[in-house]
Amino acid sequence: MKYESIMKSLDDIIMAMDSAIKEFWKNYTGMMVSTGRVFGSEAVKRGLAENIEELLKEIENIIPLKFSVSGEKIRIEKCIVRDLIEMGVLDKENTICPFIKGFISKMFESIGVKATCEECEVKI
Amino acid sequence: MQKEVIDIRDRMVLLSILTRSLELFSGEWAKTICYIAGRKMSEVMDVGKCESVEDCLQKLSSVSPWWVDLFEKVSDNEYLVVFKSCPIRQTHYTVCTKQGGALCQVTHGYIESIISNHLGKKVRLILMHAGPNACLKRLVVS
Repeated sequence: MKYESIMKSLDDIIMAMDSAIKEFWKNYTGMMVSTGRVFGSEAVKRGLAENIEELLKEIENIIPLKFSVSGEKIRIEKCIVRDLIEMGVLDKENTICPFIKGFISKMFESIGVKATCEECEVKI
Repeated sequence: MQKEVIDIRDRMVLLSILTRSLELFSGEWAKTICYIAGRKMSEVMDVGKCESVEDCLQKLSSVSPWWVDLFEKVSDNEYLVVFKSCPIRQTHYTVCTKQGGALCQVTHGYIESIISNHLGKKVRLILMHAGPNACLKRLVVS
């Protein structure tokens, strides 16, 4: 199978999943944050991170994200969801963003830090 | 690694994580969500006019990334089909997740919906064997 064909089919599946979740849960934002948190609590069980730097590396190994840290600011430099939005596969109001938000907040809680993810930035 | 390979892998990772999380959070409902996703995919896919199940499978294989072959016609409404190429199976083997779970329901929703729309009858796919190079499924038309 050619690269373009696989890529298109995966994009179609992601788009369909997003649409199916929206149809299944009318209040999908809250549900997907909870889904992310549940997945985070599962990941935390196997996690060894003790500080923010180690935690960011752990998150990068689980979800296709790349963080950059400058002082107090943690920015999401590369994000698969953002790429998919730019390509028109996902809407800005998608179900995967809240999922990642929930996951990141749960992961940070494991090292005793309260964090929220807003506008591609992790706010502690 | 090449950029293309990374892009494909990232999407596969995202898909499997999403499905696994839905399984953890909602249990069996994850299968329903994936099934709905498969049906939604079929809405935008046009395979043209089909005369029979065999014809449908052939046309489907030529326009979609799924390559499905008829293995055996058990009876007039029961067939054994082989899924030779499937993006979902490739995802499973790339990310090392177990076949036959919620994500496979995307394939079921997609194929069942396409064949059922063309034949005007209810179609059901039942997994018989999931392998690394192909999956064997029973297709029942009712």
